[in-house]
Amino acid sequence: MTYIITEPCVGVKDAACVDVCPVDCIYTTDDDDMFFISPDECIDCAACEPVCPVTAIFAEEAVPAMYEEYIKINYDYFDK
Amino acid sequence: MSASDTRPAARPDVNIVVCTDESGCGRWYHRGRNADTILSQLNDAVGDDTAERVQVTTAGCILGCTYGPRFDVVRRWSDEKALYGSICGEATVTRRGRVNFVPIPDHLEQVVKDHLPESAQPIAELNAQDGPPDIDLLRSLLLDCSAGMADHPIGLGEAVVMVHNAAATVSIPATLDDMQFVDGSGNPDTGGGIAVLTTDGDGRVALQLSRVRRLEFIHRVLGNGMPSYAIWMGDDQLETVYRIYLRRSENAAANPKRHQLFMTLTEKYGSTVTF
Repeated sequence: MTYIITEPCVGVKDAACVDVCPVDCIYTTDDDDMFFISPDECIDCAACEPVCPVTAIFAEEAVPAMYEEYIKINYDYFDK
Repeated sequence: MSASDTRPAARPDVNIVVCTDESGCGRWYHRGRNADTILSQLNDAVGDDTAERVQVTTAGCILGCTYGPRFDVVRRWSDEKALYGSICGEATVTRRGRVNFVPIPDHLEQVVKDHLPESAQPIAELNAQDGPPDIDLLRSLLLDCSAGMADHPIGLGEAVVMVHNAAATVSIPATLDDMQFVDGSGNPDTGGGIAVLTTDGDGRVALQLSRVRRLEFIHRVLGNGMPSYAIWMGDDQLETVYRIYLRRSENAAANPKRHQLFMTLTEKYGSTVTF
């Protein structure tokens, strides 16, 4: 399991998740319009989920249907 | 939903992330508090933070199990982080490497105060704090060594206690089975700060628990193929003050069980424990 960052992050990039992540597994670049969680590094602590100000982060199995494409987007980001 | 609909709410100055992992820190008590108590006290400490400058949230394991409550404090205004635990000082943590734990203060209002911009303490000073030794944890650990645990109801038994200072080293055959705790007057006291072991020949060895700040479980296989089990205890200068080596039990059937208990203790407490 991992956590998935979804559409509400797009254009927001508040970075609260990055600040609290104990293992620094949340990535982005200046060119990216959102953050991504490395599924291989995530320890499933859920620290990022409640601090997100736009409720963009969900456990993989709890991603709302409307954001399901972000599961693939998230995984693909690290398969580059 | 478009990006323009999702502007972030007020950005807190400080995030406090409390580990409530039921399989780890969340179920351990330290100085009378577990994760739920700590969470409640932190929320009380934040109080009516109408400006929402401090946000307290829960998490699963955030790494760095200190066998007691654990939380991280993130200063978003300075991009710094402090790790609070029921131990203090440096430790090596899986996936985080070498980290420093700040002891959890008795009054958690101090945590909030120490991290807000206007009253912040330098992180380096917080990391250098020396909390009171956790005698309760050490006592509990020694009791597990002495009496065994639920799944391993046999103590570690026969041992050699090695006490040394700069001038001399003394090795004393003793047993862990009848360990007692006494107070400063030598009176039996389950909450006492002195552990007393009986030596062969009815002598006694008294260990001052407050002097112990670090304990290591050491399991090795010697050159002759025989296993070696030891518990080293060090003081705040990292000098080893007591070493307890297990002796082979005369009851051969007990030795595999003692091995299992030793390994279970290592799993439960970690190979290195600081107090």
